[in-house]
Amino acid sequence: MSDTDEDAFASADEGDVSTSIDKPKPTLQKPDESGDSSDKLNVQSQSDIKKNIDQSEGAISKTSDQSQGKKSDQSQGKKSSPKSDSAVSQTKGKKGRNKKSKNKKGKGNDAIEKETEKEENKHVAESETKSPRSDNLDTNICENVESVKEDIKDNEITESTTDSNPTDKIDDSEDKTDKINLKDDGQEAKENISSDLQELLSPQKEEIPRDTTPTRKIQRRSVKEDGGDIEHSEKEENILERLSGAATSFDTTHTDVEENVLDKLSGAANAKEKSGGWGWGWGGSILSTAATSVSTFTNQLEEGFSTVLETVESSLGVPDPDEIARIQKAKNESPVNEDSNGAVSSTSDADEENEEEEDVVAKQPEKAAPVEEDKAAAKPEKEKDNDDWFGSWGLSSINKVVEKTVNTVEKTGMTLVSGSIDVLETVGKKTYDVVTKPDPGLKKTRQMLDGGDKPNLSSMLRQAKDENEQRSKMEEEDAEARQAHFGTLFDEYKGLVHLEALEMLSNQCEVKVQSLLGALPQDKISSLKPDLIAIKEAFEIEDLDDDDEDMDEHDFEQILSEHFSELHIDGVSPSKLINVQKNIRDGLEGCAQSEEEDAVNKDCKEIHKVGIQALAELTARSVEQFKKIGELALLHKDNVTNFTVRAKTIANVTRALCTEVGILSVKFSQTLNTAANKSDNPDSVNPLITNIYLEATNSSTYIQDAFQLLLPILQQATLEKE
Amino acid sequence: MSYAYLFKYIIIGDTGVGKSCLLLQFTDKRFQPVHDLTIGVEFGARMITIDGKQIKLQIWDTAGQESFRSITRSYYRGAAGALLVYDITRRDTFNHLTTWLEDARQHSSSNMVIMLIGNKSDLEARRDVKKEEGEAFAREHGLIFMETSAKTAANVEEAFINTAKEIYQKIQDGVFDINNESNGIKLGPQQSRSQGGMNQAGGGGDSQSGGCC
Repeated sequence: MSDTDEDAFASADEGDVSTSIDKPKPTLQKPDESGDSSDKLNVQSQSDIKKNIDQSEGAISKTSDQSQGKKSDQSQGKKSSPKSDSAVSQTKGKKGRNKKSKNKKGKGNDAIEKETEKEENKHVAESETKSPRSDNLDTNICENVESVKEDIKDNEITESTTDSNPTDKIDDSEDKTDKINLKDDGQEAKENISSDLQELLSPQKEEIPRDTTPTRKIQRRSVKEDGGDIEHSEKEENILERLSGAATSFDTTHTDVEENVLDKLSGAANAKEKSGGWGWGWGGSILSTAATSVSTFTNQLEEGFSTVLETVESSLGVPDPDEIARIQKAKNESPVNEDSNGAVSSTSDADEENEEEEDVVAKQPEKAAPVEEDKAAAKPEKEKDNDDWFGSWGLSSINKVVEKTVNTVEKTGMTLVSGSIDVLETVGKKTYDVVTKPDPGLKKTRQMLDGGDKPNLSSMLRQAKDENEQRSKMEEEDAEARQAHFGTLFDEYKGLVHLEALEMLSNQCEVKVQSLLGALPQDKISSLKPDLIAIKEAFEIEDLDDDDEDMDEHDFEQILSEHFSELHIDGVSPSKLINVQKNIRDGLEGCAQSEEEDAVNKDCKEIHKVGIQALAELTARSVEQFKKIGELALLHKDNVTNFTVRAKTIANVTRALCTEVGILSVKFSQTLNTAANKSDNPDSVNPLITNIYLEATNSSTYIQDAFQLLLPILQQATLEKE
Repeated sequence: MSYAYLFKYIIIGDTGVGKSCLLLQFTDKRFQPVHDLTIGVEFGARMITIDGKQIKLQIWDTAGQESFRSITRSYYRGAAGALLVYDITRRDTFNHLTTWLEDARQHSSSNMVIMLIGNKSDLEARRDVKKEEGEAFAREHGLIFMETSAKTAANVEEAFINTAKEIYQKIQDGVFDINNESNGIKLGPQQSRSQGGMNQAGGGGDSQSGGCC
């Protein structure tokens, strides 16, 4: 199915093109076609035809000018023609009908009747209607003709005849413009159209009509695009189709697909088979005229929303009445192909006649465009007239016409309603689509907001995000830096607080020393002076920072133990310092060892951190010990005889501590260097090494400062001892 | 550990009233029944949050022995808060409060917030000082009063934090000048570092030398 559908689509597309192409040419074709039909029909007499034409024209103009007036006129025209037609049609009509119905354009009845009876009036009217209208209906006619042609494929002879006929017809009919051109062009156009239509129709024929819905849709679209004319033709076709359906129903060839309308029609047809074909043909034309007018209105409506409709047209799955009619038509067609051998010529004629009718229909709407609604309103009246008039005659065709009229009115009404409903549906669907359409990333919403403050907001958010990231990053770096920051670590080890306390104590002692010196008698002071000077000298130690001379390894534990024992201060032990120093050495060893084992295990930053931590801790403990020494020196001043010795001992402790700091800095730097040599970026370690040395200097500065703070304390102790 | 403010506390009181135990309970949340005699001063620190701000409490735990009085006296200066502790089971510790209070008032800022703490409230059976007496003393001298137990941690947190709240309120009221470190209040490293940049090493030296002067 899919394949066939596609084919149908393709053909339909081609068909669209062809129709569009055909449009410009229409003038040419119309005359041809009309000529064909008229030729066949006109065997009678041209003069009669002319007369009839005049009459019909007048009627038409009346109808167009006055909707109500039309009805009466048309009905009259119908009345007059039907009488004669009916008889003829009854006799010869059946055969033709069958064939015609097969030919799709169902109007076959009329055509047959015309052919056989050659009634002037009818022909004239048709020809008249055709000629004026021709402009609008070009495409329609072409389609019709083509379809007919297809049906007639088998009998090409008829085609040739029809083709040749145009000239005569044109002569006969009113159109006396450029006969030659029309002839030539018309023939060419016909051929083109026929081929196009064949393409269009062939798939439909091949398939089951219903399956070809997509094609129809496309066709319909093309029709819309082309304008109201084509739609008119379609509607006319529909009407014709229905008629044909009725005809086929006689033959029992019609399929079950026929819908209510068809059923009605068929019922009516069955009741009175003898009905005069052209009578209802007239009625049909009138009805179709009304229908077209309404459809024009609908088209205008639709065109107003064309943009919306076009986009969503494909989504309109519900087949329009037109489409349904087409389906029926297609169904009717299939039997035609089978049956239509004998009546080829007649069918072709009938088709042409049908075309004529269509032309009439198309004409009228144009004229009556403004009065469309009036027409619609007038239709019921028409129906009534038909009933009365035909009822008196007892013609089934009248009933048919009436029913047709009803149907047409219904259909047009439906079309109108459905058209507007379609519009609403389209709008609603579009809205729904927009609303429900998945919008990944809210692109559309963003676009909508684009005009507003979206960029500002987004930029603000981005900025805030960046700032936040930056801040968190900075905090991270901060925390990291603090972990390797000597001052911070020194504070965390409470070195700062101890130093602060020592300062406070020292300051207080200094004040006390001054006051004591002022309070003590002169002789006492002179006796104490050597001690005080000796203590002060002991505290004047060389600057331990700037020379690396004595960086040889030393036994820190032993030295400290000795010195602290010399202090003779209860409660002060070097154990804390010694433990710290041991841990530091172990850590340093670990760093070096891990370096040897796996190169990049401990990166430079880690080693640097360990080094700084070691320095900070050692410094903090040193300051703490100094503070304690100071406090206890003040407390236990009685135990010690010589404060000068104590001062010298403390100085030695200070030297040992500073030496240790120096050694640690060197060792950590060496470790860093070796680690850096193994890493890919040796230069990156330089600032770290520099930092180690810098903090080592800071460390020894803190230690010496703490040491210096002890001077007033020892002085006070010396003074107070006395 | 960044903080907005640093408050310096001192803990004073007779020896054996549980000053060091209170500090240990507050900083380490543990109780040590037998504690070494404090020599001079020991230190503790803990972060607390008041009004959404991180505040570092730096607590100077002084020796209570009479021999250290002259030394500990020098540590009072620059304290924003003081915990004056007595032992509810020993009336003499309560009787010495006046002396301690005089020392504190004399050697520290007049704005210093003093919290009177009757410790060892877990030893109700051996209570020697009624709670009302403590309250009366606090009312009389404009102190905050609280009975705590370093052993059970009862009211320990509250004692430290309420003091901090009082100090913070005084800062909000403008009583304390946070730029004057003699009040025992320092701005956190964040604020100071933002001005001083990365010259931390120099900063350390500066503070020290500044202290010397």
